[in-house]
Amino acid sequence: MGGELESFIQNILQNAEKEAQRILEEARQEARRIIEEAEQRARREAEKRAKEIIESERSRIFDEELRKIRREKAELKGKILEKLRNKLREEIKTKVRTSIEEINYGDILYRLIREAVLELGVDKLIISANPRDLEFIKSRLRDIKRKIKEDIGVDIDITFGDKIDVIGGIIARTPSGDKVYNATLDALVEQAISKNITKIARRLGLISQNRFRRLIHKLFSKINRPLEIEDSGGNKVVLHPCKNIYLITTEHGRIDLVCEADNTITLVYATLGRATAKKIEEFTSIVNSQFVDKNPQKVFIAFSGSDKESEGLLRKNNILLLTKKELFRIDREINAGIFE
Amino acid sequence: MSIAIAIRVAMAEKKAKEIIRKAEEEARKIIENAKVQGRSIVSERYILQLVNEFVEKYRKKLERQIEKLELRYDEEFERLTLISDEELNEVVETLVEVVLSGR
Repeated sequence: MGGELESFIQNILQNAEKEAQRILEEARQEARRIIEEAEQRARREAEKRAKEIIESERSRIFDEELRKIRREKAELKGKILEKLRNKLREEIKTKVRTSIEEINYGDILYRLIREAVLELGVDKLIISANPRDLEFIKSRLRDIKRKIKEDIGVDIDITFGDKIDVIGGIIARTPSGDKVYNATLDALVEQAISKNITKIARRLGLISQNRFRRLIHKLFSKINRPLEIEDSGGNKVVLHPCKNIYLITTEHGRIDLVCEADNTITLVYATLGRATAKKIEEFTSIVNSQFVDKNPQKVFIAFSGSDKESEGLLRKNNILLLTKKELFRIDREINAGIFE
Repeated sequence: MSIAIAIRVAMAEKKAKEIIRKAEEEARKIIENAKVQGRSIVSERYILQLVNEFVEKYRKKLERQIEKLELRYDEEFERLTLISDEELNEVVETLVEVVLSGR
């Protein structure tokens, strides 16, 4: 009886211990759940906020980078145009100063005066020019007036205004000063640049790479007959009219132009820069993966030319090279008016 | 059953109840502590610390994206730095004609 009682009591206590362990285990599980849930909530909230912060930072940095890139490009372009402007002014100055006879500067001055008379529509003009041109006009005033009378039937009365610091040409004004016609060579230089800025930019490659590739598409789409040309290495190449033109872009690289003609496929890679091993490898890799059995004609357009090493690599891969020179020749041959 | 036995059983039951009560008390404390810890985890200070860690992680990705962005523009820069005097002179030659001929 004593043993049974002991066993009974032990059983009560053991059950209580087990129950206590169960309660504690449940509590620990619940505690873990509470903490995990809190951690997940905190993580979700932190990720959400971090994404917002980084997204706003991304936009800010990208915008800043783009602005920086655009600004640097614009500055470089500005410097190039400034250099062009200075060269043009110097060239004109030299021509006017040293070879008046050769370029018939007297005729040019006469033309500018006649344009001023026509433009202002008056018979009295005050002409300002640099000291040299002013003297030149004064010395030939009688001839100029006679010629204007003959050419446009205006009996013009010309008087002389201030001497001005310009490379050449004239500024004409009416006596009342209400109308002014600026035909200085300085102004004409500015006009020539601004009127021809698109052509200048295309000839010098002062365009975005996307614009350049669009122009290449345009050029190839204007080929309307088989066009035999020589590439930069003197290899003969025939460009056929494209029936279908498209581009291919993959994560590994790009083909800027696929020209499907009747019996040929021409693949073109176009860069404003120079041909480099990296660009050539990018081109050959995508050509080999996409056009392996089609025996395409491969053309590499490098607006800025190439070096010997790249030329060797192009030859080895049977790729024709067109530089700016050949592009301009194609443009002339088909009268495309894109680069020339 | 003798009184002595009844008393011993009652004492054992009392002890068992006490064991369970202590366990329940301990469990309550565990949960209470977890709640306190949970509140501290979702506290602003801790979240901000996590935010900084995530931002640091994302920023590295962002830097890689920016490097790529710069590369995209290399070709245009390349061209802009390659324009030679000879090329400018060719354009100048054409423009001299334009200026002097009035075309």
